[in-house]
Amino acid sequence: MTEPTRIRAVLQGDLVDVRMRLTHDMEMGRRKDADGKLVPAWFVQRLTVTHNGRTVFAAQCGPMISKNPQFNFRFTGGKPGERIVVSWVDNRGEQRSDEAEIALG
Amino acid sequence: MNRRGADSERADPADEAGTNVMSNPGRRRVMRAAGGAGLLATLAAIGWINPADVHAQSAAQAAVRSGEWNAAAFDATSLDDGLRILGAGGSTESGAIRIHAPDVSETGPAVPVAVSSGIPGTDAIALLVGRNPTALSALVEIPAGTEPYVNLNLRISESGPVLALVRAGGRYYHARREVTLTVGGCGE
Repeated sequence: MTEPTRIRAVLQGDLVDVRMRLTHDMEMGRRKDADGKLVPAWFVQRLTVTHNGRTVFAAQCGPMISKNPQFNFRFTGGKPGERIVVSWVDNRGEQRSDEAEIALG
Repeated sequence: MNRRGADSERADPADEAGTNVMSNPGRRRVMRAAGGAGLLATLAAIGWINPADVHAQSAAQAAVRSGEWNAAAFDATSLDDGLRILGAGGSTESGAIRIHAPDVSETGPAVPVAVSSGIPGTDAIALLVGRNPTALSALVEIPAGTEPYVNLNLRISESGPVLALVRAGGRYYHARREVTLTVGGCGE
Protein backbone atom coordinates (compact mmCIF):
# COMPACT_ATOMS: atom_id res chain seq x y z
CA MET A 1 0.00 0.00 0.00
CA THR A 2 1.15 3.51 -0.74
CA GLU A 3 0.69 6.40 1.62
CA PRO A 4 -0.50 9.94 0.90
CA THR A 5 1.86 12.67 -0.23
CA ARG A 6 1.81 15.72 2.01
CA ILE A 7 1.30 18.77 -0.17
CA ARG A 8 1.26 22.49 0.58
CA ALA A 9 0.54 24.92 -2.25
CA VAL A 10 0.45 28.61 -1.39
CA LEU A 11 -0.05 31.57 -3.71
CA GLN A 12 2.62 34.20 -3.04
CA GLY A 13 2.31 37.15 -5.40
CA ASP A 14 1.86 35.54 -8.81
CA LEU A 15 3.77 32.38 -7.92
CA VAL A 16 2.36 29.23 -6.38
CA ASP A 17 4.94 27.79 -3.99
CA VAL A 18 4.53 24.00 -3.82
CA ARG A 19 6.09 21.83 -1.14
CA MET A 20 5.66 18.07 -1.27
CA ARG A 21 6.74 15.23 0.96
CA LEU A 22 6.30 11.80 -0.55
CA THR A 23 6.09 8.76 1.69
CA HIS A 24 8.46 6.21 0.20
CA ASP A 25 11.39 4.13 1.48
CA MET A 26 13.61 4.97 -1.53
CA GLU A 27 15.72 1.84 -1.02
CA MET A 28 19.08 2.29 -2.72
CA GLY A 29 19.62 -1.42 -3.43
CA ARG A 30 22.90 -1.30 -1.51
CA ARG A 31 21.78 -1.99 2.02
CA LYS A 32 21.83 -5.44 3.65
CA ASP A 33 19.08 -6.69 5.93
CA ALA A 34 19.56 -8.47 9.27
CA ASP A 35 20.24 -11.77 7.43
CA GLY A 36 22.94 -10.18 5.30
CA LYS A 37 20.80 -10.21 2.16
CA LEU A 38 20.80 -7.22 -0.13
CA VAL A 39 17.58 -5.21 0.09
CA PRO A 40 16.46 -4.68 -3.53
CA ALA A 41 16.29 -1.17 -4.88
CA TRP A 42 12.81 0.31 -4.57
CA PHE A 43 12.38 3.98 -5.37
CA VAL A 44 10.16 6.56 -7.00
CA GLN A 45 11.19 6.99 -10.64
CA ARG A 46 8.80 9.63 -11.91
CA LEU A 47 7.05 12.48 -10.16
CA THR A 48 4.69 14.87 -11.91
CA VAL A 49 2.54 17.74 -10.77
CA THR A 50 -0.36 19.00 -12.86
CA HIS A 51 -2.54 22.06 -12.56
CA ASN A 52 -5.72 22.26 -14.68
CA GLY A 53 -4.39 19.35 -16.74
CA ARG A 54 -1.09 21.10 -17.48
CA THR A 55 2.20 19.68 -16.24
CA VAL A 56 3.89 22.25 -14.02
CA PHE A 57 6.66 20.01 -12.66
CA ALA A 58 8.11 16.69 -13.79
CA ALA A 59 11.09 14.86 -12.36
CA GLN A 60 12.91 11.62 -13.05
CA CYS A 61 14.32 10.34 -9.78
CA GLY A 62 17.07 7.90 -8.90
CA PRO A 63 17.66 5.95 -5.69
CA MET A 64 20.04 8.61 -4.35
CA ILE A 65 17.15 10.85 -3.41
CA SER A 66 16.42 10.73 0.31
CA LYS A 67 13.86 8.51 1.96
CA ASN A 68 10.47 10.27 2.09
CA PRO A 69 11.58 12.70 -0.61
CA GLN A 70 10.81 16.39 -0.28
CA PHE A 71 10.52 18.76 -3.21
CA ASN A 72 9.83 22.46 -3.53
CA PHE A 73 9.11 24.36 -6.77
CA ARG A 74 7.14 27.41 -7.94
CA PHE A 75 4.85 28.00 -10.89
CA THR A 76 2.72 30.83 -12.26
CA GLY A 77 -0.94 30.78 -13.28
CA GLY A 78 -2.51 29.17 -10.23
CA LYS A 79 -5.39 30.74 -8.31
CA PRO A 80 -6.58 30.16 -4.75
CA GLY A 81 -9.06 27.30 -4.56
CA GLU A 82 -7.76 25.59 -7.69
CA ARG A 83 -6.28 22.15 -7.28
CA ILE A 84 -2.99 20.55 -8.14
CA VAL A 85 -2.43 16.81 -8.59
CA VAL A 86 0.83 15.20 -7.45
CA SER A 87 1.48 11.75 -8.97
CA TRP A 88 4.36 9.34 -8.69
CA VAL A 89 5.27 5.91 -9.96
CA ASP A 90 8.04 3.72 -8.57
CA ASN A 91 10.29 1.07 -10.10
CA ARG A 92 7.85 -1.67 -9.09
CA GLY A 93 5.07 0.04 -11.00
CA GLU A 94 3.25 1.15 -7.88
CA GLN A 95 1.78 4.60 -8.18
CA ARG A 96 -0.41 7.11 -6.45
CA SER A 97 -1.93 10.55 -6.95
CA ASP A 98 -2.84 13.10 -4.33
CA GLU A 99 -4.46 16.50 -4.63
CA ALA A 100 -4.25 19.77 -2.80
CA GLU A 101 -6.02 23.09 -3.04
CA ILE A 102 -4.00 26.25 -3.65
CA ALA A 103 -4.19 28.45 -0.55
CA LEU A 104 -3.80 32.22 -0.40
CA GLY A 105 -0.44 33.11 1.17
CA MET B 1 19.90 -5.68 -8.05
CA ASN B 2 17.02 -4.14 -9.87
CA ARG B 3 18.05 -0.55 -10.23
CA ARG B 4 16.81 -0.45 -13.78
CA GLY B 5 13.24 -0.58 -12.68
CA ALA B 6 10.28 -2.79 -13.29
CA ASP B 7 10.97 -3.26 -16.95
CA SER B 8 13.87 -3.09 -19.31
CA GLU B 9 14.66 -0.13 -21.50
CA ARG B 10 16.61 -0.21 -24.69
CA ALA B 11 18.22 2.52 -26.69
CA ASP B 12 16.07 3.69 -29.56
CA PRO B 13 17.80 6.40 -31.56
CA ALA B 14 14.58 7.08 -33.45
CA ASP B 15 12.99 8.27 -30.26
CA GLU B 16 15.51 10.95 -29.37
CA ALA B 17 13.37 13.80 -30.62
CA GLY B 18 12.98 16.84 -28.44
CA THR B 19 10.37 15.62 -25.98
CA ASN B 20 12.87 13.99 -23.64
CA VAL B 21 14.17 15.58 -20.48
CA MET B 22 17.85 15.94 -21.26
CA SER B 23 19.10 14.06 -24.27
CA ASN B 24 19.11 10.33 -23.74
CA PRO B 25 18.82 6.95 -25.42
CA GLY B 26 15.70 6.00 -23.53
CA ARG B 27 12.33 5.28 -24.99
CA ARG B 28 8.98 5.92 -23.55
CA ARG B 29 8.08 3.18 -21.20
CA VAL B 30 4.56 1.93 -20.97
CA MET B 31 3.88 0.66 -17.55
CA ARG B 32 1.29 -1.79 -16.48
CA ALA B 33 -1.82 0.16 -15.61
CA ALA B 34 -2.73 -0.22 -11.97
CA GLY B 35 -6.35 -0.60 -10.95
CA GLY B 36 -6.54 2.88 -9.40
CA ALA B 37 -8.23 4.73 -12.24
CA GLY B 38 -10.96 2.10 -12.52
CA LEU B 39 -11.70 2.29 -8.83
CA LEU B 40 -11.93 6.08 -8.97
CA ALA B 41 -14.36 5.87 -11.89
CA THR B 42 -16.55 3.49 -9.91
CA LEU B 43 -16.55 5.75 -6.86
CA ALA B 44 -17.53 8.68 -9.07
CA ALA B 45 -20.34 6.69 -10.70
CA ILE B 46 -21.91 5.97 -7.32
CA GLY B 47 -21.51 9.56 -6.22
CA TRP B 48 -18.78 9.15 -3.64
CA ILE B 49 -16.33 11.50 -5.25
CA ASN B 50 -16.42 14.36 -7.72
CA PRO B 51 -16.07 13.24 -11.38
CA ALA B 52 -13.87 16.29 -12.10
CA ASP B 53 -11.37 15.05 -9.51
CA VAL B 54 -11.47 11.58 -11.07
CA HIS B 55 -10.69 13.03 -14.46
CA ALA B 56 -7.79 15.09 -13.09
CA GLN B 57 -6.36 12.13 -11.21
CA SER B 58 -6.62 9.63 -14.05
CA ALA B 59 -5.06 12.08 -16.50
CA ALA B 60 -2.24 12.71 -14.03
CA GLN B 61 -1.70 8.98 -13.51
CA ALA B 62 -1.59 8.33 -17.23
CA ALA B 63 0.96 11.12 -17.61
CA VAL B 64 3.24 9.85 -14.86
CA ARG B 65 3.03 6.28 -16.22
CA SER B 66 3.87 7.23 -19.77
CA GLY B 67 6.85 9.38 -18.83
CA GLU B 68 10.34 8.16 -19.52
CA TRP B 69 13.10 7.23 -17.09
CA ASN B 70 16.66 7.49 -18.32
CA ALA B 71 18.08 4.20 -17.00
CA ALA B 72 21.50 4.66 -18.63
CA ALA B 73 22.01 8.09 -17.07
CA PHE B 74 20.87 6.93 -13.63
CA ASP B 75 23.34 4.01 -13.82
CA ALA B 76 26.35 6.29 -14.37
CA THR B 77 28.89 5.91 -11.58
CA SER B 78 30.81 9.15 -12.09
CA LEU B 79 30.09 12.80 -12.83
CA ASP B 80 31.88 12.55 -16.18
CA ASP B 81 29.92 9.49 -17.27
CA GLY B 82 26.66 11.02 -16.11
CA LEU B 83 27.30 14.21 -18.06
CA ARG B 84 28.38 12.29 -21.15
CA ILE B 85 25.29 10.05 -21.13
CA LEU B 86 23.07 13.10 -20.71
CA GLY B 87 24.74 14.60 -23.80
CA ALA B 88 26.27 17.33 -21.67
CA GLY B 89 29.94 16.39 -21.91
CA GLY B 90 30.74 19.83 -23.32
CA SER B 91 28.80 21.72 -20.66
CA THR B 92 29.96 25.27 -19.88
CA GLU B 93 30.50 26.47 -16.31
CA SER B 94 28.09 29.29 -15.47
CA GLY B 95 27.94 31.77 -12.62
CA ALA B 96 24.23 32.25 -13.33
CA ILE B 97 23.45 28.90 -11.69
CA ARG B 98 23.21 29.02 -7.92
CA ILE B 99 23.43 25.93 -5.71
CA HIS B 100 22.20 26.36 -2.18
CA ALA B 101 23.50 23.59 0.05
CA PRO B 102 25.22 23.39 3.41
CA ASP B 103 29.03 23.64 3.20
CA VAL B 104 29.21 21.12 6.00
CA SER B 105 26.43 18.63 6.71
CA GLU B 106 26.28 16.43 9.76
CA THR B 107 24.02 13.91 8.07
CA GLY B 108 24.38 12.48 4.59
CA PRO B 109 21.00 10.75 4.13
CA ALA B 110 18.99 13.95 3.65
CA VAL B 111 20.93 17.01 2.55
CA PRO B 112 18.73 19.87 1.32
CA VAL B 113 19.97 21.14 -2.03
CA ALA B 114 18.35 23.95 -4.02
CA VAL B 115 19.26 25.03 -7.53
CA SER B 116 18.17 28.18 -9.30
CA SER B 117 19.13 29.16 -12.81
CA GLY B 118 19.39 32.68 -14.12
CA ILE B 119 19.95 31.43 -17.66
CA PRO B 120 17.08 32.48 -19.95
CA GLY B 121 15.20 29.57 -21.50
CA THR B 122 16.15 27.07 -18.80
CA ASP B 123 13.98 24.01 -19.44
CA ALA B 124 15.69 21.28 -17.40
CA ILE B 125 17.82 20.99 -14.28
CA ALA B 126 19.77 17.89 -13.23
CA LEU B 127 21.53 17.23 -9.94
CA LEU B 128 24.58 15.01 -9.74
CA VAL B 129 26.66 14.04 -6.72
CA GLY B 130 30.30 13.26 -7.48
CA ARG B 131 31.10 10.68 -4.81
CA ASN B 132 27.82 8.76 -4.73
CA PRO B 133 27.67 5.14 -5.99
CA THR B 134 25.56 6.51 -8.85
CA ALA B 135 26.04 10.16 -9.68
CA LEU B 136 22.70 11.30 -11.07
CA SER B 137 20.11 12.06 -8.41
CA ALA B 138 17.32 13.77 -10.31
CA LEU B 139 16.41 15.17 -13.72
CA VAL B 140 13.82 17.90 -13.45
CA GLU B 141 11.81 19.28 -16.33
CA ILE B 142 10.99 22.99 -16.07
CA PRO B 143 7.88 23.68 -18.19
CA ALA B 144 7.13 27.23 -19.36
CA GLY B 145 5.54 29.08 -16.45
CA THR B 146 7.55 27.20 -13.82
CA GLU B 147 10.46 28.96 -12.12
CA PRO B 148 13.91 27.63 -13.07
CA TYR B 149 14.33 26.47 -9.50
CA VAL B 150 14.08 23.23 -7.57
CA ASN B 151 14.74 22.29 -3.99
CA LEU B 152 14.98 18.68 -2.88
CA ASN B 153 16.79 16.48 -0.40
CA LEU B 154 19.58 14.20 -1.56
CA ARG B 155 21.62 11.35 -0.20
CA ILE B 156 25.28 12.27 -0.19
CA SER B 157 27.56 9.37 0.66
CA GLU B 158 30.93 11.15 0.93
CA SER B 159 32.29 14.66 0.99
CA GLY B 160 32.67 15.92 -2.54
CA PRO B 161 31.15 17.97 -5.32
CA VAL B 162 27.46 18.52 -6.02
CA LEU B 163 26.94 19.52 -9.64
CA ALA B 164 23.88 21.28 -11.04
CA LEU B 165 23.40 20.87 -14.76
CA VAL B 166 21.08 23.23 -16.63
CA ARG B 167 19.75 22.91 -20.15
CA ALA B 168 18.76 26.15 -21.89
CA GLY B 169 18.25 26.71 -25.60
CA GLY B 170 19.57 23.23 -26.31
CA ARG B 171 22.89 23.96 -24.57
CA TYR B 172 24.22 22.78 -21.25
CA TYR B 173 25.64 24.78 -18.36
CA HIS B 174 26.74 23.74 -14.92
CA ALA B 175 27.83 24.91 -11.51
CA ARG B 176 29.57 22.99 -8.76
CA ARG B 177 29.63 23.17 -5.00
CA GLU B 178 31.59 21.18 -2.45
CA VAL B 179 29.67 19.62 0.42
CA THR B 180 31.62 18.22 3.37
CA LEU B 181 30.02 15.48 5.41
CA THR B 182 30.74 14.52 8.97
CA VAL B 183 28.62 11.32 8.61
CA GLY B 184 28.02 9.31 5.43
CA GLY B 185 24.68 8.96 3.66
CA CYS B 186 24.72 5.39 2.42
CA GLY B 187 24.79 3.53 5.70
CA GLU B 188 21.27 4.58 6.56
